[in-house]
Amino acid sequence: MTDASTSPSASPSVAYAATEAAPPAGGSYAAPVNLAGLVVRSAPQPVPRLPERTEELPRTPLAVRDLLRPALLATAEAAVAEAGLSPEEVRNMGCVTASNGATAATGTYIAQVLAGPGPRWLTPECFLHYSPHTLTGELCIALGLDGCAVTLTGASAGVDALGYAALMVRTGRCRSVLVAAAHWPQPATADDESVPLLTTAAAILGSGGGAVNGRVSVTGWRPGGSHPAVRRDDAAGTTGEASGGRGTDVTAPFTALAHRRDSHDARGTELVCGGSRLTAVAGAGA
Amino acid sequence: MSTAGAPATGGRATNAQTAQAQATNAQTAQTQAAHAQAAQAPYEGARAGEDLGRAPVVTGLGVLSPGGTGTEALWRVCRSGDGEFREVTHFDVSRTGTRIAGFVPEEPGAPLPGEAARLPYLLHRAVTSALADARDRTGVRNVPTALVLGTTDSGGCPGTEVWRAWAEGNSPRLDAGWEPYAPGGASPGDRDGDSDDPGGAPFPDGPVVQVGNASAAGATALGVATDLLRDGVVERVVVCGVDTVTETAFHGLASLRTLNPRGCRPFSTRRAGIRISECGAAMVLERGTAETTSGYARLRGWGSSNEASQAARPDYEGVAKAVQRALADARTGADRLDYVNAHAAGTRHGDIAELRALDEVLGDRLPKVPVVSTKAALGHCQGAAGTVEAIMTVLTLARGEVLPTLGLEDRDPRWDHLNLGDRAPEAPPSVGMTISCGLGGSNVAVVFSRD
Repeated sequence: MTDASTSPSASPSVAYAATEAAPPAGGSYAAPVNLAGLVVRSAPQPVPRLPERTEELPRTPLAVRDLLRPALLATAEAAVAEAGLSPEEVRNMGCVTASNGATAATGTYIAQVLAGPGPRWLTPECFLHYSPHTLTGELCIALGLDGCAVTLTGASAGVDALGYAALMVRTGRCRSVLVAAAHWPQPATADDESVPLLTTAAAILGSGGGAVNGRVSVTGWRPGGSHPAVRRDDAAGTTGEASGGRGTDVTAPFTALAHRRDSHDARGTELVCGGSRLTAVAGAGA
Repeated sequence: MSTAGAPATGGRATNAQTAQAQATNAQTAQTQAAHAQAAQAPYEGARAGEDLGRAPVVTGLGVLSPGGTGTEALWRVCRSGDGEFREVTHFDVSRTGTRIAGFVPEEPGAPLPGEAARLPYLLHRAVTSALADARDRTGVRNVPTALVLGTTDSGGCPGTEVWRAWAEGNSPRLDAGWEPYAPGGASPGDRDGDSDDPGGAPFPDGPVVQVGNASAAGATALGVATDLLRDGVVERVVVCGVDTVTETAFHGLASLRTLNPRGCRPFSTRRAGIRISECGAAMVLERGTAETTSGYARLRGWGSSNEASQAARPDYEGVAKAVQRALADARTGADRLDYVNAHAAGTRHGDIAELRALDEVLGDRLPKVPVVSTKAALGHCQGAAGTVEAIMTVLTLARGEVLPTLGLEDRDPRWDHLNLGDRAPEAPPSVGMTISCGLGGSNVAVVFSRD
């Protein structure tokens, strides 16, 4: 469960106090990094069903290639536009993407085709959209990003992606980073007829000259995530800020950041997702 | 490494043996400039300077590969090529052209391929072995230890059995069903403080960061861990690349026509695709302190790029950028690099792009630098490839011996002038690089030094 808290937190004062006498090291005491652009979009989006006639399989849309990927790209393009970056700045930008099973529809599609029509009916291109890195790759290739590119997964990936991107900016690996996230829950049961929400989010951390520039910064990343093969977690991901399961929405920290940006609140906000933490503070950062 | 970096040795002359080089004069000039810039950066080795925090020490290694358990078994299989490759039996491969995969040899009582506990088992054994190895080298260190995980497996539907059970309403789960591995058949519980693995060390109790850069996940995980250590976010990290052979990934790759029944044949005229393997490969990285001077090697730097014209095939420009960035991050000139463990999976175009990239960066020096692929021996270990190949790089530096690329009997004549590990180098290598490429265009390079 993502606890996108908007309550005051002790962390900002800790961060500020620490940066005054800080060692050059980062971690919880790192200098804040500027948020230059942020867009979050959400809309009901059913996952395509396999056709009744096998012959129609090649014409059936692929969930990740044809629905998730274009939605994430459009969100990222809007965030880049909002940040007011020059083409050269865009080209040098890094990319960190967060996914907690957002591309799982591909694995399910493959299993379903294998269980039914058989392997010769698998659309060859489907496997290109199996790994969550397909999202990072698509953003880098389509937008022409040439910086460091990292895909983070698991319940804590939303906060970890923002925190790691801030680290990349602060340590000089990139001047700015596109941080993207997608959440698209799979149906709970085979009979589940409800239409899931597809949420895509994109933030630009680092340099930028857009309208958002200078209002919010992030600092104090404290990774705290887990993995089901390491520690038992709450599978539903519904209780407690430290929990994190398959259902955890990695776009929620971006939504919380958007609320923080729009609130004009001078106090800090702690973003918590899957056990990892990050603090949003007012004002321009690095 | 104890001497300061020298300027790059001369310009990059046209190499008559590579047709590609003649078409890249403009890019060559740019590369030369970047090369010279990297070479002029001061070399800040542990002996020369005190920038210990920038170059984490490799203090522990743990691996389960198709060669067996442990680094000795890994080295042996990379020398001999007699790894555990057999027909897949835990799902139906009767309707595919490729039926072989690489497996970690069975251990009594261990979960079998296809069981939900297989990946947690490989993860647990690799990590606890690496931490035990680190404990033997540095003594017990009571510092919080993070786990940075590199895998292609996000825990989604692993195959038809899980899908059918879910679709028929017999199971609520449509995922891999992972739980913490319990050694010796004990009931699974939290891994915190778990030390019941004979010969192993307690499982780390710190945060887990998961990296999913497809086949470059293991190498990227090493880079992320390095950044966490340099920035002081954590004191010690165990990086683990881990993957199993799942039905969905196997058939997905088969549908892409990526699998080769003859296995990985890097640099061969008959290279035609990959053979996948399961693997767990872990490396302990620690900030340089007085307690961590007894490591195998140092991780000097890393670089990545995602420049590609399409998701399924690496472009040489993108690979060259990753290599250049890794050298710059390592503050090491290209003239100091004397070993490369290549991605070289044995695909038609991938091997060409990678060697062309190395030609761009190393120029005239390339024929003198051993460029080795261990995938001929190990298969493609998927998300673990980057870490197991980093372990081979570290072992090569620590042992001072370069193993050849296996299966060079039918090497592609376009690379006859290169040292693909078939000629002993003039001196034991002291700076090595490992390269990984992944679907989606991920290119990553990681630089290690002997001390």
